[in-house]
Amino acid sequence: MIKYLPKYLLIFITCILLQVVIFNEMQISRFLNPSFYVLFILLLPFETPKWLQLISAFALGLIIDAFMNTAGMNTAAIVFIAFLRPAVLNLVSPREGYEPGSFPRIAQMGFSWFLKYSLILIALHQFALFFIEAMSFNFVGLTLLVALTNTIATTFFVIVSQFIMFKR
Amino acid sequence: MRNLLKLFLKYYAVFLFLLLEFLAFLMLFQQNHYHNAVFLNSASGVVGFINTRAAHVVDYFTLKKENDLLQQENLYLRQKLEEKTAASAEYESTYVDAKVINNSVVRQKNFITINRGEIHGMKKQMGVLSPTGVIGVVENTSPHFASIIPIININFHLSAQLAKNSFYGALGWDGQDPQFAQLHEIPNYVDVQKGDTIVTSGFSYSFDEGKLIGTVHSAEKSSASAFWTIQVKLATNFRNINHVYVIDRAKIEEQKSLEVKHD
Repeated sequence: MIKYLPKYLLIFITCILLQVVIFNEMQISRFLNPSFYVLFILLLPFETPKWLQLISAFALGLIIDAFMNTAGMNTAAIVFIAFLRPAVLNLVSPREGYEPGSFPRIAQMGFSWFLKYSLILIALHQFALFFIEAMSFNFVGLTLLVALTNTIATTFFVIVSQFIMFKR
Repeated sequence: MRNLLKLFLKYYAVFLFLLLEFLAFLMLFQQNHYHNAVFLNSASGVVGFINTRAAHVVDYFTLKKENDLLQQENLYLRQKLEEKTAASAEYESTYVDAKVINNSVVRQKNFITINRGEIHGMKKQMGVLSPTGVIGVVENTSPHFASIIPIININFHLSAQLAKNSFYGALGWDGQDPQFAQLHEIPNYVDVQKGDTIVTSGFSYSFDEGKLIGTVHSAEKSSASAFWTIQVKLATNFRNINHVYVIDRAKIEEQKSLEVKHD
């Protein structure tokens, strides 16, 4: 496990910088406001201990919240999906289970597996995030629509990043 | 006891999850109620530094727009100068210019961060203007940065009035469109027309009277209440603010301390 630490630290920092410098600066519309940083949680190795997933999600959320002035909002949403990730991994597991030494990436798991996996977790994250933001069901239709379009946008950028990051 | 420990070890992830969510929501609610309690925000040093860098990158893409804005700004300043020489210096305010280093428009609780802080004299509650109109109020300060709660934040409220007859109401934002805010509490017997100018009322500690907020976009009478529902087209385009002015009202502390005595 420990040998992955520098690599994942690098991914951690890259995800934060991309979110802060590019995606937070986009400001095109409420409907196109992707939470690219969830990529870090998606990419964690299959055998990552639960406590480590939760703690690293918490740290990631805190930092993102600091940049967005949204104390606790992104933290709550990202910890939520870090908690559900093992269950989702179970749900979408291939028939023969995960091969030891494999990672949740397109290159190793295939496109359709990765799309299914990331779409479920990103949708959970976005719906949690935007309902925490709205904190009420006043504009429930609008909130649902915002969460939906942002789920698509985030998934799109996450998938694109796969082709750029792990080309080799 | 051993069973309890076993149970805890088995489900430790659930407990950890609940603990972390509890902390996250604690922060969330604290931010809403007491902004001071937030230790991590965009006004803090490291975050401010990185935001400054990011703002530098974006600067290059907006040079053209920036030029136009500077031109507008010149005009504004020239008018200001005339006003200043003409008007009496009875209630003097000074302006501090600042640059926006972080801005959001797509959330419900939008914030703006500027590159002026306590060492430049920034204090909470100071009003912030753009060359075209009212932006918001200073919310948090650090030595070098300040965060501003703009009109387009659902927690923002400001006393505003109709320029033509000085009827005043409460300006707020419903979290929908960053171009429009809502003016409440204007009685429905008052004459309100599309295009009427909405300005600050002078009842707030942050702004002098008569600062432009926007114009009436639509006004609806509802049979259920005695008040207008007014959509205000904001004079400031929050998507492209770069330079702002913070109002330093010289005598506001005096006014505040006087008014506290009545309580």
